[in-house]
Amino acid sequence: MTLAAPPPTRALLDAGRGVAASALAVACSRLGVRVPEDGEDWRRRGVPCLLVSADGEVELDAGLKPPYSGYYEWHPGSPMAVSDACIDAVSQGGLAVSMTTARAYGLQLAAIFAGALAWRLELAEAMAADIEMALQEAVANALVHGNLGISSEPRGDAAGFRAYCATIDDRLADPLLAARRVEVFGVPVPGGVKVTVTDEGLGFELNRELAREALIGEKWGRGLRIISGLARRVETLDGGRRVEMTFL
Amino acid sequence: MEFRISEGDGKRVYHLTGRFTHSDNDAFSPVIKDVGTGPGRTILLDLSGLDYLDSFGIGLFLVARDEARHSANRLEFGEPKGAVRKLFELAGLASLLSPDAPAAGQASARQIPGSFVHGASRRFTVSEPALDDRGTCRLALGGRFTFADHEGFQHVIDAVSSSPARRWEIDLAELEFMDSAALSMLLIARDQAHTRGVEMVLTNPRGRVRQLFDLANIPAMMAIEERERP
Repeated sequence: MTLAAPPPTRALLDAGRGVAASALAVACSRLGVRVPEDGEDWRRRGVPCLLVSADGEVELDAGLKPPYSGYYEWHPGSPMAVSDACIDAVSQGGLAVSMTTARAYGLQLAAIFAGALAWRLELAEAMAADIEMALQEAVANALVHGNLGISSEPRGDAAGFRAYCATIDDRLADPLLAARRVEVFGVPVPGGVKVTVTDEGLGFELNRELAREALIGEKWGRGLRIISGLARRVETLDGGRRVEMTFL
Repeated sequence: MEFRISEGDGKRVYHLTGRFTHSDNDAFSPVIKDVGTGPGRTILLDLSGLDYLDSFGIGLFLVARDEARHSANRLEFGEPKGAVRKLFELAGLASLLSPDAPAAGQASARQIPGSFVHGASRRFTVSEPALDDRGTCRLALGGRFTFADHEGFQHVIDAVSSSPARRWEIDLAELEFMDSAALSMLLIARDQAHTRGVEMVLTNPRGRVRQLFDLANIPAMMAIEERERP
């Protein structure tokens, strides 16, 4: 399966963003991403296409609209490694987003993705609302606990909360942690949709977390139970770095 | 709050002056009644003489706006100054002042034709706390409240930690979405209030916020009340 990215890339180049087209084309080629020739009507060929961009919310939104099937955040000089899962998702008629923690943290990623998925797959409003709520929890877990590696919750007082805020800021300022990727995929399945969130953290064990969650009086740790209450099926793979939620 | 009425250019103008707060429900009710009498009229609320506005005053404006819509009238808001304008912006309601202009904090989303993010109140907003003479402090949360809004919520924690209030009421009527991390922040604020011997209640959760409360069993943990909004 190949993936065509160049049209949006060329659009970026045309916008004067300073990336050498040939270098990007070579990078795409190395990754197995096919680069159509100038003038090729790639829309008519129906080739699934990711919008590759260094920009944030505007391009994310654009990448989730036709003719694109997703958004890949890429910065000149950094490696571009479109994951197999990304390619699989768009090849199956779904949507894919791959972006850094630094960028995703300040965006309404769950809302934007769920809205786009509902529009693309013509999902019922109630299912779209459930997807957004569950996806919000999964993305928050992926970013905070996964990629930023914050395992402990704040103490339940003002000082503890301030310390928690400071920890978030410190971790976001760490370039290695901030560059970790979160990926979100949504693909149609018979009778519904499967939504997947991946991160680059240490992972977790779903059943153990569910077993210790939702103690009345506890302030934190409800996210997975909320996901379980909304999705028909929840699975974790890759040691907990990949959460798959099926909505029927 | 006081007002006077003038007529001109085919519209009725209410010139509001003074401080407009939760205690002005009765004073403002003739305006609400008038804007709900239609159809086809244009009414302007001139806010340039207002010195102060609290979140309940904002709520009254929204009631007036809805009344006007139901009666097919046009309600305009004219040029608030200083702190009053700031409150409109903080509440994510700047679009009320100029219906065609982007709301505060929404520029990027509004610039995208057909964006998947809609609405003027998508971003998290916190109103200024308003303390009444019975020791109850009220503030309103609006928009989308998620894990990334911890810095915005820090203001609420700080206010709860330093206020002389004997009771807090957090109005959620304008909150359209929240996640479990945001819920946790509310529980921290509640605990902070309790350590000071202060009661905290949540009021008027709606739609998906109410759904989240039920999923997370919050009614068993925290007082939730329905309150008539001014």
